[in-house]
Amino acid sequence: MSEVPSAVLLRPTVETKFHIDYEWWRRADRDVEVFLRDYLCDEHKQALATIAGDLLYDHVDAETGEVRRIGGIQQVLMSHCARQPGYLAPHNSLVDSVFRILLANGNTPISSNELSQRLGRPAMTILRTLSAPRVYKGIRPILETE
Amino acid sequence: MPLAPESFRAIAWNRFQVQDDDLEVVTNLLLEREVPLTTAEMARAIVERRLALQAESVARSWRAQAEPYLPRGTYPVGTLLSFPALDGASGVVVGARPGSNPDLGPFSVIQVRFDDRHETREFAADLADHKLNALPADPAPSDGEDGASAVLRSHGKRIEEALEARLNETRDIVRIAGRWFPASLLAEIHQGHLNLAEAVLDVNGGGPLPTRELLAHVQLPENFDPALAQFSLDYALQQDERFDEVGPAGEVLWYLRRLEPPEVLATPPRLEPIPAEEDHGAFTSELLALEAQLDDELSPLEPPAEPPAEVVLPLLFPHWRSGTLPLSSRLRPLFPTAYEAPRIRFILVDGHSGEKFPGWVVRGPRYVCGLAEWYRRHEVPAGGLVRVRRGQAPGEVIVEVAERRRRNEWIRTAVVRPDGAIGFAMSKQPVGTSYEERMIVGVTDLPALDAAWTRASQRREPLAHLVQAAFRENAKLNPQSAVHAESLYSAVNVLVRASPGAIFTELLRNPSLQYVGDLYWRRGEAATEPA
Repeated sequence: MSEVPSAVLLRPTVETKFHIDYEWWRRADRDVEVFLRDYLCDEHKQALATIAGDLLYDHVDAETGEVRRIGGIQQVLMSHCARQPGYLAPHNSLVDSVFRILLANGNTPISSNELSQRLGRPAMTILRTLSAPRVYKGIRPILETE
Repeated sequence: MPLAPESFRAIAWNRFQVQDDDLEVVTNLLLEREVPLTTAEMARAIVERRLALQAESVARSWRAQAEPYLPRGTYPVGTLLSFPALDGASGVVVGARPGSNPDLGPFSVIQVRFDDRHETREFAADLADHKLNALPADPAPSDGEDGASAVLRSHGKRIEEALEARLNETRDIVRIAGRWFPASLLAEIHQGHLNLAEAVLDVNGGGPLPTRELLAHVQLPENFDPALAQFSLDYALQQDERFDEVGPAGEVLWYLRRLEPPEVLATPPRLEPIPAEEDHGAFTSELLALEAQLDDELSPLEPPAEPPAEVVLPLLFPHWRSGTLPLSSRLRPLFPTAYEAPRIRFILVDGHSGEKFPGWVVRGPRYVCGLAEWYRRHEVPAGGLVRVRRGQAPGEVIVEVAERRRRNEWIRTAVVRPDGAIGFAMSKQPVGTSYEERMIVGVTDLPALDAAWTRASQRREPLAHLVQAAFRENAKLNPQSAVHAESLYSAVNVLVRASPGAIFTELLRNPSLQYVGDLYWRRGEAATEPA
């Protein structure tokens, strides 16, 4: 079956899933592992020296079982820091909250509707923010064809 | 494992996109039935076909003895696996290695090559704790519900939107009033028919008239099915610039475009928003809550889950001056809508006198017009509270002022400064309704205010400057010199039409304005960070 993609059909909706596009970080010549240090809990900020920067771990997708390799800081974030009280705080900006949720979920793609339920903010506001021409923290829609 | 009966769950309906084969299904269905069909009817046909294909695919997979992938399984190299979570894709295990994740304990990672995609991906194996190890947890069809109905219940809106977007790109299938039909099968409507329709509408004051009344005068060959004749005339009228379809959803009504009120055909200048950036990512929860409360038609707000029985809103200055109401997220469900008609004519009812008068929903720029005289009669000020609710008869909408009582009050008033700029002052003004304190804007000299606005020198300034100017003017009106975000929003909208999102973005970016709590800002030295 041939597929004819079009801009209209690929426009993000409130059901479109978003994820952190690590390629975007690479293209922007920014080291995501360094950026992620700001999201570590106090305990792990102290202990950061013991985390080997080049060590890779296997992250298993909760929906599909697919394995993706992630860095050591991400692994610590997901397994510990993201589970601490105050990780998701009301004073976080919308984009920061979405970024934190994606980090905590192992970058499992999530829709504006799902984020709306987590954050208590309108799905359309989230969609408009994340679909804006400016890409925030590498958060991009997944607009794949079937 | 009983995979086949669950087959419909494996299709990624939440990422549904229309394929060429789907269009073929739709075309065949229309040719077979020979009557126009709704998007929902065609969507069902597509879903049923996709489900049938999926069932066949799964059956083939079983015949090929592909093993359904489960993270708890152990898979030697060479094992053929099918992946229900990946739309039933299948692949061969080509390698394995130990997994590394201290949170998961020991497990394996297998490499799987997908033939159709020419790629190798990695999956967990020997992993006991994963939700795919349990049976699929997707919602099953309810009692008496078939698979297609279950899919449409959960994903129908997305499927219909995608189908409509795709059909809109084709020239072969045309739509009117929510129904579609092949253009090649329509009855021929020539210029004489259309001229007759124009004459009929003309003698009826422009309209609105239903198609069947026009058909009574426009004589088509008798061998045409009446429904097809009506659809054909509707389509021909839609293609002709002289005519405008103005009926609500489910009803086709025609109007002569040249006899429509000017504010229906062109957006009143006061309602045209200036281009401005909105950075919702920087908003606090309080600002987002205020944006939702303001319910501006320019804001990206979702309609309420339950349509409200009535809405009471303070009238924003541009709408007051234009004699319009916003078609905002909360108000929209109270007004008639349409499948594709950009303008809908309906009846407004004065809740105090019972008098009826025509109103128009203008969907694109999101406003309802026809209220200028009604505002004048009831002395509704900008910021005055207006109650809107559905009427008794279908298509009728009742408007009332929230509390009818004439009084003189000290209110914020828009004035024209000696240099021609619009500013604000406090003055005693007659007010005919209750009003929202932070939204009210009185006017002492409307012609002078309109002239200052029309000269446009102020309007050409960047929004950041206008926010600063409106802030300065409003800070002078209270002893604390503090300005609430809502007051600023209503004041800026006297100068230009701008969304709360755009105004709040400039408010947050302005380094000379500092947050002092409860959505108030002040110039210069300040107290706290934004909450």
